[in-house]
Amino acid sequence: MKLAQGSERLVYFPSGDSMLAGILTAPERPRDIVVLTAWGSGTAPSSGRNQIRSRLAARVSELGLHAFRFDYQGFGESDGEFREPSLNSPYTEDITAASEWLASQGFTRIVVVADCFGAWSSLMAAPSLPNLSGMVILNAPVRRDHHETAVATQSWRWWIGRLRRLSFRKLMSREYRSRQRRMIALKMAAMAGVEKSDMRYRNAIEELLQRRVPILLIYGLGDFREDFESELAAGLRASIERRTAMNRIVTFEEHLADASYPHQELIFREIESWLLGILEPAVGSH
Amino acid sequence: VVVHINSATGAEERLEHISTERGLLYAWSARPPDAEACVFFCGSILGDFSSNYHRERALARQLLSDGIATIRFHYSGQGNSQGSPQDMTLDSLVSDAKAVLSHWSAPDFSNYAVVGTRLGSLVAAKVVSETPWPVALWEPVIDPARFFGEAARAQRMSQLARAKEGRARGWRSELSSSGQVELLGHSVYPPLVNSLDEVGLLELLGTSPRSVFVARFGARDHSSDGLMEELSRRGFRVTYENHAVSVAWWFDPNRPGKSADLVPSTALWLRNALSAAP
Repeated sequence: MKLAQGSERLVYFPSGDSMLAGILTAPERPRDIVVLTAWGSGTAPSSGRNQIRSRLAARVSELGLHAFRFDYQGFGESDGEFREPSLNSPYTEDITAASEWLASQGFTRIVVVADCFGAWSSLMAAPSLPNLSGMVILNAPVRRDHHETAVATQSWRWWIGRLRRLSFRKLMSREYRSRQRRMIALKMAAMAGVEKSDMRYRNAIEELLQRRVPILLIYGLGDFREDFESELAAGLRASIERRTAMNRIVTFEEHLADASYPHQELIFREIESWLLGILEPAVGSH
Repeated sequence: VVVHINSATGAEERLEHISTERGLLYAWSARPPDAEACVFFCGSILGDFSSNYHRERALARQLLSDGIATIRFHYSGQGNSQGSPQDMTLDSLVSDAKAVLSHWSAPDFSNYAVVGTRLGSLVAAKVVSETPWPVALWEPVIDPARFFGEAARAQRMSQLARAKEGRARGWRSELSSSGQVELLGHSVYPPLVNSLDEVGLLELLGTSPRSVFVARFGARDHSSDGLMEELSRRGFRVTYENHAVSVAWWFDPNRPGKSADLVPSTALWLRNALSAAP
């Protein structure tokens, strides 16, 4: 698949005190919609692992949509210091800044396509995205991050091995003790079958539904699937499906995190099909 | 080209596309005021490209704060650059690096050094072989034939961990029969693999003595002993260090791993090597 960088524009735009690096891909015959991609906190630059974001930009430009990808503060070619990703401190500032920059370029309709921690951050940023016309949420954490889901499922052998590596220096570290307390609490909660209570994901989706922003939820196998399924069973599915027909839930029995070309293809087809459904009212030129 | 002045370092940072016969290459450069020396980065490829990207970024930022200019780029067919991964070969990687480097020859820095990471070490070695420039190598791939074999082994382990059946056939035979092979999510094509047959880091580094820094990640092993001995025999000034870096070859971690003192240590070596350069 060819990339569409012949029509790509490199940009810097402000977010707080930092300047972020971004790439705006322009289609040949543009419609008045831009797809803003916000990815996770992995180490890949704005192209994404295995060029998934570059390739997605090329694909949506074939539909006549602009695409915009960027590096968060402290990542890739953006300024700023790296901030440890945490569900309590999502990268909302950068996503909002990207949206504002796109609005300053004349875009009045923005569709966010977001993965993993970027999807969590986008959900949390959604109330401050006035031009939001759709959101694709791909493998977003629901109430626990990667570390928390991993800890909860570790075997006792793993815990014993960890205990053996305990040292006086570690014991004296307040940060280490605090982390251990959190991990033990997670393990105990998992053993007791008590789910971590966190309504932020549910509330963010409900807010999008109330605003009549079409959503596409895509989950593969992986650490967030269980939380997602339990959220669906707790009423989220009914809530989504009784709203507009443009809302869609797609699950795959594959691990999508490696972003291999076949997995990218699965994801792209779902996104394209969903985008075509919400595009019709948006025909016009930018 | 898009330019901005970094308020913290005063450096002029540029994002640009550089035209080559394989398409546009994505490059980032930063030049502090009055910088006379420049460090050029040759990153790795496929999974290693992502897993080392943040460390290379950190080193570039450290060098900037030391008043040293830096240039980083994406190879054709990778990252934000144009081109097809199917066309990637060792020659194309070297050609991309030279195209980017020559783009900056006009501003004239008095001294250059090159950093190579993993398979990018081969590219770095080839780039410096015709110059007296010092070169810093992070976890260099000494024997490229093992590069893909290691990924194939990691993939089998990953598949077993996910309770999936590991690949029965060897990756090489699958590459021959299918024209491509998936290794940990990355498509690998014959031109790249074939171009790395019978190529070694030692041969690419040439025989002109220069300063070489080799950093190995993780626990000390003896995999570099032969390289060190041969370079010393050839009169190279060799510095070898081990760093407790979280190793994640080919895997894209969910967050940047700890790099311990790898970055400050490499930056210090580069500063000294550049200031000692003729």
